[in-house]
Amino acid sequence: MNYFRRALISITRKIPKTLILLLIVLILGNIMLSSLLIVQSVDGTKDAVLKELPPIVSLSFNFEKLNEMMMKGEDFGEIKWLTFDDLDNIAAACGSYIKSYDYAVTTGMQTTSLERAEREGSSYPGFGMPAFTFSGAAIPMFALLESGEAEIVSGRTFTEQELAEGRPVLIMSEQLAEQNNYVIGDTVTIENTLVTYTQAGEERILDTLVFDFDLIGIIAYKNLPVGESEQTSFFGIDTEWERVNTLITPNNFIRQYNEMWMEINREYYQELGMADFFPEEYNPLMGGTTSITYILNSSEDFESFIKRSQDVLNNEWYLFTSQEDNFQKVAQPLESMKNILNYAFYITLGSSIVVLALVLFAFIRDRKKEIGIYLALGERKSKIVLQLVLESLIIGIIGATLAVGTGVFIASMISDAMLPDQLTIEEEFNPMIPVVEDYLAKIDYSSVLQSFDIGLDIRSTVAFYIAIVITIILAQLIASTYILSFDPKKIMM
Amino acid sequence: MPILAVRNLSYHYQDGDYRRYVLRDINAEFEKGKFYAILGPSGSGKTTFLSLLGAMESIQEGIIEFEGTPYSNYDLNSIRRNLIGMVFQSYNLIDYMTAVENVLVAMSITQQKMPADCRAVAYNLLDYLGITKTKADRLVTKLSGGEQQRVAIARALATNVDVILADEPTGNVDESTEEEIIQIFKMLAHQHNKCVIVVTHSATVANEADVILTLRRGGFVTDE
Repeated sequence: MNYFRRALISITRKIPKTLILLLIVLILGNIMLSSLLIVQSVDGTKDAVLKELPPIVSLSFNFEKLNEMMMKGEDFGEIKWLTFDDLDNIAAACGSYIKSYDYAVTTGMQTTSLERAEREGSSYPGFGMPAFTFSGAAIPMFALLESGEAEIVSGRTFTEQELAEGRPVLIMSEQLAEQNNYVIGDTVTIENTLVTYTQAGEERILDTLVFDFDLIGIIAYKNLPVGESEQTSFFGIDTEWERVNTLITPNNFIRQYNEMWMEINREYYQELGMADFFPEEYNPLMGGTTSITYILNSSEDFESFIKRSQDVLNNEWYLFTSQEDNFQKVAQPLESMKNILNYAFYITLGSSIVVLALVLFAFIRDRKKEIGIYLALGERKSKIVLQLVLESLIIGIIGATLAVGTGVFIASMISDAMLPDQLTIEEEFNPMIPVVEDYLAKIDYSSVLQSFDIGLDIRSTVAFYIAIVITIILAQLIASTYILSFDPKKIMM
Repeated sequence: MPILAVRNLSYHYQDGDYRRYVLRDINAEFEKGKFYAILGPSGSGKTTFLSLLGAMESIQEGIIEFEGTPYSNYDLNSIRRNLIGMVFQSYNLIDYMTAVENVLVAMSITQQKMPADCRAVAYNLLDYLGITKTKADRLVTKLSGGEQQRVAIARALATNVDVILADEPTGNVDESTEEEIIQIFKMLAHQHNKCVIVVTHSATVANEADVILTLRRGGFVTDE
């Protein structure tokens, strides 16, 4: 009858002790397992959601910081604007993470040559001539296409040559094309009137420029809003819809146009004696209205890429935002629950060791005579401890197996109780400039909740059993230190 | 050669700065085939002497030899495991095990060569001591005091040792059972050539012993 057989006899014949230990392990096991399951399910949800989305990181000006400083009346000194050298440095340092990157230099044109495509039930809220946003592209698969936010439904994208030369080629939304009866191959003539207003409030036309664009592509946006507009910008412009009225051209075309626009305005301001109003050199990235979109090779690189890029850029006025950040914002209740239960898991693990050690200590006291008999018969203390560890482990594994059956159910109950059905996110800071757009996917809470599924996989099961085994062994070893003080003579004689 | 020899054995309890000697310079020899009774008033150190012989605690002063080899050459556990069998007044059986399982526990702990079919040997041993197979399969708590003491003796014998030490083995049994236990010890000594050493208050036990050792003034007076 070796110690293993003795352990089995003890388990099967000392039923109250076995049941007490089983119950304790079952309760603690359920808490541990449900915490573990929820933590891993949140991670699983995050992985599943992010896996479905393109691995995009957006680099944009931190308008929120600027706004806060202005509100507090702080002196923010001279803003360090992003430069093309910065972009080159990031590309050189983090090239291994980057599949491609794009940025959009933007401008606006006021013209009567085009009719705006408004959302059903709304009208253009601006004054004067209708305004259109021009957004540039740096690469043929510009961010809008690469991110999957839009797709070309007719025609083609830009060629490298068109982009490099800044040719007047145009891609527009299907709504705008339909509104103006344009098809691929048409020439879109835009007569752009440069208007300013005198101090007396009178409109003054500075110049009129006429551009003939070749319409090379028509795109369809995937996630256009439906129904009545709710979200508006500073000017009452429907920001979600505004991209329909955005015309896409090569960045270099917009840069040339902006330089031209600055020259014309400079002359006017010179007349007014305010030539200093304009910077001497034109930096297309100045003003913070351009965000840089990095398409990474893998969503697993978010953290590494952002950390390294931040070091290279070293500019606190700019922020890197990834899909992961977006997920965390939307899945905030899940993340909070995960954090709480992560702590709960480790607290339960620690307290389980203490609780079990105390219970097992009480059992050893109760079995002092039995242990004295083993010692009197010449059994080694190590083998007695081994027998006790085996007993606890066998009961513990049975308890853990029962907990596996109930843990999923309890984890579902806990998560149901902790997660709100709907999420109200505090209204984000509105930069008031509708042209600033990143291509991070809009992750919504309900779809995150749909992806959140508590299930037991092999990884969780193995982790749980390991946690239980470690807990029981540690608790039993702690309790068994008491045996070291046992003197067979005192117990037996 | 005696199987056990005690040379200048002393044992004391430390009481502050004062040492209170329970045993002082004791010398004795014990042989196989004899049944020894150790008598003495309460607190005379009989149990301490037995616990030292049974390797239940370390020797402070002096030597105990097993077949000429000092105990200090052994690990105390291994003496209890392989050389000595002990029987206690309160039987000290594992209460959730059957009689035969209690015997098997000792057989599993010893490093002495055990037969292949330990269980059959344990049944035979118990049967030899008056515990039938039916009773051997009962939990020890279901047996009478006398039966439990027989199980304890069987456990002590199961490891095939030559020395049986017993601490007041008849202290908890009635007179007729006491007589039966005495007969078992005599049989073990005389028919099986064991060295049986019993610490007792009982005159009945002492009268049946081959050798009576009376503990007096820290030493033994031998009456043969």
